[in-house]
Amino acid sequence: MTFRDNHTKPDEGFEGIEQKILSEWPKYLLRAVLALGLIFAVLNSWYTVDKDEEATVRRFGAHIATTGPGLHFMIPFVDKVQNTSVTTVHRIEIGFRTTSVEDNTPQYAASSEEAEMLTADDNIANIDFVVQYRSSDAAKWQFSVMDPEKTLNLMAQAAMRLIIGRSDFDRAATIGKAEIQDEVRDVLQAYSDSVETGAQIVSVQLQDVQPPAPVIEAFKDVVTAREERETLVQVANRHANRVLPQARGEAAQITNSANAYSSERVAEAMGDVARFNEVLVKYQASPEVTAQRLIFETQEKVLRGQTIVVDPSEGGLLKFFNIDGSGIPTATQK
Amino acid sequence: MVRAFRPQHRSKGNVMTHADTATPRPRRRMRNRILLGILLVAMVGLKTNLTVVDETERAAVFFFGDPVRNLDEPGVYLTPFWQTVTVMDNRYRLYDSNPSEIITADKKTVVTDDFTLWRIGDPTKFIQAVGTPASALKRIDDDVFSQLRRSFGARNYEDIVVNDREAIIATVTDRAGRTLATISIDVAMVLTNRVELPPENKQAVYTRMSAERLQQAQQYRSEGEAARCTESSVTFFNAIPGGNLFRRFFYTKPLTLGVFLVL
Repeated sequence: MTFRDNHTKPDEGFEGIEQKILSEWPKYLLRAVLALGLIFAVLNSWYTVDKDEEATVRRFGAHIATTGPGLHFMIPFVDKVQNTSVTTVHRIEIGFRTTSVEDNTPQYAASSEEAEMLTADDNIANIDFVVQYRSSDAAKWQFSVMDPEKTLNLMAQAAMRLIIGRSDFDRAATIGKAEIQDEVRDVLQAYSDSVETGAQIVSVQLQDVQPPAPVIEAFKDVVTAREERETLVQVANRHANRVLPQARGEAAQITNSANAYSSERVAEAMGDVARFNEVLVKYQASPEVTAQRLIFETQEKVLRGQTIVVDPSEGGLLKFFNIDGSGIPTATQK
Repeated sequence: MVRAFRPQHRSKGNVMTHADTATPRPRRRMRNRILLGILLVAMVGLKTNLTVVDETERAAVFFFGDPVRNLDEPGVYLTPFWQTVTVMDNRYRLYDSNPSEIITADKKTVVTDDFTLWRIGDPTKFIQAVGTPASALKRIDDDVFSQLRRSFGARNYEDIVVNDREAIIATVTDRAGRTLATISIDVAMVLTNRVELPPENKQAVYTRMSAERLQQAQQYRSEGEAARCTESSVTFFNAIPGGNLFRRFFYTKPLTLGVFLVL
């Protein structure tokens, strides 16, 4: 190297370069620093905002603009840019945590301290719910509250406890869910707006309204008992269904035969009446003869087939024994 | 800065004419060094004499402990190096207290857990009265908790849990806010994120809830039993003479009937 240098530049040797570097090193260092600074400045003179984001630009600390998605320019070192995702919906889980997702099935862990709430009818309910929100105003989200996520979490708990405290357990567990969700969302939005978190509450969803763990067994027992009652009622109904048509048939049969008997009797009676009228006509024509005849006819009818003893003398009961060999008197006639 | 070094750069191109550049070089180098020095001093000077207040911040300016002014708007301020500037984060901060037991007017105990959202009001007054945000927490805890205890203690359990919690909490916020405003702590809201019963009382509630449910279950069971008894008594007593009398007796007493049937 020295050899070639000697040929091309006779008056400057290796020692000359060394001397030059030694004497002018601040110049080279400054140039290097300046070049690096320039590169750094150029690299810092633009920023990108992603499709779901908004960015706030602060010039000397003061908020001067909020920009949407795209490529934007800025003054390096002076402007400060902070991106916030404004369209993404974030979740806050209260009363439970999603611990992991295995085979597309989320696994949950309960957090009973958060979940236990007093209801208006002095009961305790375990309530799991999810708050969905968007940090829709990037500037407020960044500049207003120090820890907006934690703040929203605590506010959501306060709002839910306020509303649950006003409603009965049964209402919260069953028909009142939709109403409670809406009320809590409105209250939470109001809380959030009062300190300008910039959050927009999308929804509050009750996941699970359960009795506390020690009471669950009793609640399940009620359901079991209700089912048992239904079973017994069904069994009774089945029996009724078996017995009732049979009984109805029997009733119809009885009614029919009664009707038949009734018409038979009526016909018979009508016949009797006709016959009596016939006799009446004869009686009116010759009353004595007819009366005598009626007496004879009746005696004939009544006395036929009877053992008749005619005893003109006054006597005791004794002489009637064993007349027909039975020892028991069958009829007495005076 | 770039312009200042351009002559140097040009001189490198004319290495051949060493003799021409030899005379002005030391003078230029001198000038450059002076310029560089001035620039550095200016930068350091700016750094020490300017304050940038961010959108999230407020600042208080003191001159040897004597308050000069507040910097209440974000931007750049000229603050000579002999002035001390304390910049503080002005966003709402969360103070989340520990759960504590409070006895209500009707002598019931509730466990409450509250949190306060606050921020620094006037930075100068705040620094003079409180000092740092960390020491503010103690003051907030004192005032908010005493107001909470006072308000909850004056009301019945029913009002606190069911009827009137919003109004009670609003009163607490208002009263604590007024006291804390005097030391420039700006209270936005106090909320109770939890209002509960102490563990011992909880157990009693569980027992009562269980009893309620078991009673309901018993009612269902008895109703079912009644349906079954009506059915079986009809078949059973119709089979024996005079059964109707027995049936009328046993209809309302399924248990006796059960015993009777078993016998």
